[in-house]
Amino acid sequence: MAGVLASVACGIIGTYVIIRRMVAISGGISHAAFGGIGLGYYLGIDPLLGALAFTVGAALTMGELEQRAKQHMDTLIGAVWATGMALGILFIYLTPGFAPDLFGYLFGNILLVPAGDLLLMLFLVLVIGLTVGLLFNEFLAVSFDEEYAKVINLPVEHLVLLLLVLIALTVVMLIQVVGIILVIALLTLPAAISRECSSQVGTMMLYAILLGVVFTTMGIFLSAFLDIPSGATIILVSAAAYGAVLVKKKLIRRNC
Amino acid sequence: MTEETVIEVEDLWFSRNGEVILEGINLRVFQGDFYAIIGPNGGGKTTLLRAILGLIPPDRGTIRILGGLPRENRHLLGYVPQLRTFDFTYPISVRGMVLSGLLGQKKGIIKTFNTEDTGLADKALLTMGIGHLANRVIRNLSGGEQQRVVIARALVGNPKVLLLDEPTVFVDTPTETQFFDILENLARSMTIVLVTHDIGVIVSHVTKVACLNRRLYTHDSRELTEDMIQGAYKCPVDIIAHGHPHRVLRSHPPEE
Repeated sequence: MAGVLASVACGIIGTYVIIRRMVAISGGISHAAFGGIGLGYYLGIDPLLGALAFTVGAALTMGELEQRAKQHMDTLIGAVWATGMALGILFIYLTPGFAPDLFGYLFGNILLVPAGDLLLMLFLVLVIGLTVGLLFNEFLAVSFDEEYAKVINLPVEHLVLLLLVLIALTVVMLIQVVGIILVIALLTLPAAISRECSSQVGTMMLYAILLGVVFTTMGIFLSAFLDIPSGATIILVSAAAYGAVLVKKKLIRRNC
Repeated sequence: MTEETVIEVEDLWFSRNGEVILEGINLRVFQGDFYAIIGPNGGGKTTLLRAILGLIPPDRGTIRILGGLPRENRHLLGYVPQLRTFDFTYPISVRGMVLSGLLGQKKGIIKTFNTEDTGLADKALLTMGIGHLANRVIRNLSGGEQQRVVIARALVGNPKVLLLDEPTVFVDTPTETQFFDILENLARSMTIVLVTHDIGVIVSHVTKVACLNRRLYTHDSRELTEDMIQGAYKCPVDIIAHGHPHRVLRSHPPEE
């Protein structure tokens, strides 16, 4: 169930991440989440809420700074990435006692998603789906040709920030499934594969969602069968599929 | 044709990293003009167009588009950029890309396309002689076909002025002639500003010529006369006096 919800979100948002080349930004956002998880432990609240605050904050900070301070995005990503991790380590150090499922947040634990988190995920999926559904054409224009979108007076800055926030929401969902460190793979691999065989953004999203469902399901069953960690298995299944598609494409020299 | 001013540039200065790119530019484009701005590479042609579109802030001077600020009215212009600001492997159809040019004129937050819009897109494609490509994916097009799609995207919103930045860069010579025939047809119903370093081609089609090399030298001929051709070729002489002889002479056919 959590896998399906996560797949829907990363199919939609992963598509934008791939076509607008925001893979590294997503990495920065997901690692900033660690700071929020640490803060959650420290304050004794749900670490996922902390992660939500930190990822959205990191997304807005990077987006604003890129547009205002004229900094290169990869410099900002580096700064946010490391700062998020550092804050997380600090907060966890300051928290008395042992952080029980810290490992779950780092590497994912899809089999033990609490009902409350499942509800949060469902809510986030609805927010993401609704936003993209309503602003589909605008996101298309901005992710396709940002400068031209500016010339035709679309609110480009706001749209870009909104897209970053949506990435942040998706990252929070994926933390439950594969963990902070592996988020980036689940966000990008299904969409990267689906890009190879679709000619439209809409179909690309659809394929990416289906692939995500297949990968998470296969990963979970394999991990249960072989008794290995589920998050890592899901990623390895996805990566293997991506490799296979690339090899096949190289051999046949045509799409899918 | 009425004598309505569509673009007005007054005493425009622009510098980048301390180097003056545009110096005291005055330019008036009236409705119905087919205005060519020629000049050497690095003469500031693209900078001038980008300033008119409000994409870069000038150091000094005012720019008016249909009496308003660039930011307010730039969506009424059709812009064909010189450099590709987008990724041609993006999964989008030719028709979808042309449709995105209409977004600026849609009111409200939620923007959707109806059959009327599709009709406009197909009409723009027909004008550019590529109606048969509407359902193709842009990554499968040739350079010249892609350029026509870019122009169709600029045309689809029925702009007051069409701004073309080196539109023949991606086009080979036989298609180039055909290309200028299309432009000439468009010029009957539309104001066109064309920026190019290629002196030879434009002279037989345009109604006004200006030369840009940091400063703008205008030759306000209204008709195609010997005078104007003289004017156009007098211009490199002016530029030579300003210290850039070699660049200009090289783009100058020897027999002329």
